[in-house]
Amino acid sequence: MRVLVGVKRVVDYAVKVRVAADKKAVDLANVKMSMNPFCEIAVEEAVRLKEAKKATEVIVVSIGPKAAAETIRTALAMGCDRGIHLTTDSRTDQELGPNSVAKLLAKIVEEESPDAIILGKQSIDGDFGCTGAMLAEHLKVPQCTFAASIDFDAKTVERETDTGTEVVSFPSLPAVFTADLRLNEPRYATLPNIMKAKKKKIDTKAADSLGVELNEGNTVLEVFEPPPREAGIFVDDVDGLVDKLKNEAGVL
Amino acid sequence: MLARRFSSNLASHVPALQSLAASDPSSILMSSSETSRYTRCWMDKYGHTDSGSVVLRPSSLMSLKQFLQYSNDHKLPVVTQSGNTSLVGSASPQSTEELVLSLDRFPSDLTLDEEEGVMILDAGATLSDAIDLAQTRGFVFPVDLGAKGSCKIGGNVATNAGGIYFNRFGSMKSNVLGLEVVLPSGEVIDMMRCMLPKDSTGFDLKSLFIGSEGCLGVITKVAMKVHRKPTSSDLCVFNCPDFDAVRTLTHRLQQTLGNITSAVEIMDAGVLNLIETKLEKKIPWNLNSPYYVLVETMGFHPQQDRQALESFFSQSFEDNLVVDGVLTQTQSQQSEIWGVRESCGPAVNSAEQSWKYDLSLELKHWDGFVKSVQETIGDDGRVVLWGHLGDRNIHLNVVSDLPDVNLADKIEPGLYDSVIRAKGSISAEHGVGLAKAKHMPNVVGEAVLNRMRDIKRVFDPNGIMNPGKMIA
Repeated sequence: MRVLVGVKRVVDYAVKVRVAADKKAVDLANVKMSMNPFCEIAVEEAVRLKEAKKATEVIVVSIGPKAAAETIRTALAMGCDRGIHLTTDSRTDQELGPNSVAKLLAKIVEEESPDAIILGKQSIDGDFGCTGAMLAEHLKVPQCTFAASIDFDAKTVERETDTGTEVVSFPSLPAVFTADLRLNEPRYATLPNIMKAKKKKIDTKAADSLGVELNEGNTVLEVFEPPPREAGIFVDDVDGLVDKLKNEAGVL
Repeated sequence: MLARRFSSNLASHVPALQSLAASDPSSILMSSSETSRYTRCWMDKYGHTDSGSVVLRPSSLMSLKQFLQYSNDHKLPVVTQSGNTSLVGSASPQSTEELVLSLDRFPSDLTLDEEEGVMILDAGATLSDAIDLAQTRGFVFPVDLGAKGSCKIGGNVATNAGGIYFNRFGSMKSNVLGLEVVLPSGEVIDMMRCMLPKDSTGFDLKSLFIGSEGCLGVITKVAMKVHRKPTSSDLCVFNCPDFDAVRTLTHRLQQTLGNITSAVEIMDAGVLNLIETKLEKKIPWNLNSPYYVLVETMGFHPQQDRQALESFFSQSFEDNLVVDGVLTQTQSQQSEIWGVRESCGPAVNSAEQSWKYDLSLELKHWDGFVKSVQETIGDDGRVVLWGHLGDRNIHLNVVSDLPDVNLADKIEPGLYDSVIRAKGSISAEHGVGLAKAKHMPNVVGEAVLNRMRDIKRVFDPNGIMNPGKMIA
């Protein structure tokens, strides 16, 4: 089995972001960037498959600016075999949307013919959570999203739901899987593996050279911080509650 | 030894202290259920749990002055207590006759001047609040240590705290730009008139209070230099095959990465094993070596800094100085690794018995000292080590599963004598307190000790401030 993993370079999870002065985007100047946490989990899953001899090759792909090559190198240091870097100058946190990414990944899948495609369930900048599902649609293959565990032998996936988990089965490969938090705990990149990763190959090409239309059709109008959370209040009775919900909060 | 006779019976002064506390009743505690957390140290080693103690908790400068002045007028001994995180009993009373003056209700305001890089802190501010404020505004607070959630800046200054960033940002002395202090007489000494770093005007009284361990006066306000936060930071753990490799690695770090290293720490296999077994904490790197060197870099040129770090470890591998290790890729990974480093102290404390030795020693002596202490204790215990490698500050700890043997009797004073002969320090950053007071004549010599006693008499003529501590 050959596995393709998608990774995204995003603002580091621990950073407290600020809105840019023009309110059109988040301010990314001098901000620490890292691999999306769910992508780390996807990479870890793929590398474990290789270690268990269930996968023979793991290819990592990323769509992003020049610096996304570092993110690919991290994935290589975690154990992926080779990388594909689709370069773009579009902002990947808001200009390049999930459908464009899904179409680009579909092209890569056509070229590489992997048996399993593992992505993170969502990116922590866009937070769409759509790329995996859209990719499966474009490819017309099964999708198992929010995976908490994947069994390639039994062809089942335990997936997260709002009420707990459910087990679904997928009829065949290739299929798309998206990684949720409990799937695994990603490893650290060891120094020997970082050095080995330098020798691994990364194929670089421009994202707009793949013959894919990259216009998402969405425009970001404004980016703003949510209003600060106000203290709660006590109401005297149910009537008072209904009155507040209707006339103040405007939710009834 | 300075011997002081104190006016008998603190109890007879309680009504007067209560009336001073009248407008703020929470500023005086007397029931033993409430006072024991002040009268006993956090390691449960120093202090006492007897009933009959009085703990004063002023919530203002005025209240603190009044309590202190009263104590001085009536020659009542006072133990000033900041976060109560002392490792040498500096903040613990030796009997119910000693008043505990806690700063836990004292003002804790923080302000930061970004243009000048100066933070002004009330003595009651917790170290972690100072670190967080600096962080959010793009600065690094120069002192950072494991107890930061509990310790307060007043105490940090009074103990000349070191920490993990001593290497990069310098000592407490080089970062304190101003102090406000209250003397036992109640007099407020303002040493914050000029908070610029270059000021060559007279004897530097501030320095006397830095590291004074509550023996001269009470620090009430601090002006600290804060440093611009570099834009990128990396953290590596290097697995070293032996101590010679550690020495060579440290030397090379200074030669090639000196301008970007912010912390250089060491942990041995023994302390990591304790962390894993006693604290059940996961260590996220391969445990296959006797020593682990933790290197944090901070710089303004992320790409170049990363490359410099990568060629450093590449070369170190080739030269067999490093056999394995990890490089963090995210902030969460950095926090996890620091979490392991900060668990060293707690892990040792959870052993049946433990003894701590905080020493400064030239690197060439480290291995020999560890072997010698292990030989002294034989099978009765284990020596484990960690520390601030870059600053030559070794935290040599001894743990034992035996509940009754007192290994300190075998180790001391031999260990301290050897350290002094090797021109090291018997207390790199923990202070003297009660634990090491008796060694002071040997450490500094009579000539210096006499001048220290003279200075004590200038500021605290009645000898009420923390008697028996530091220069008893």
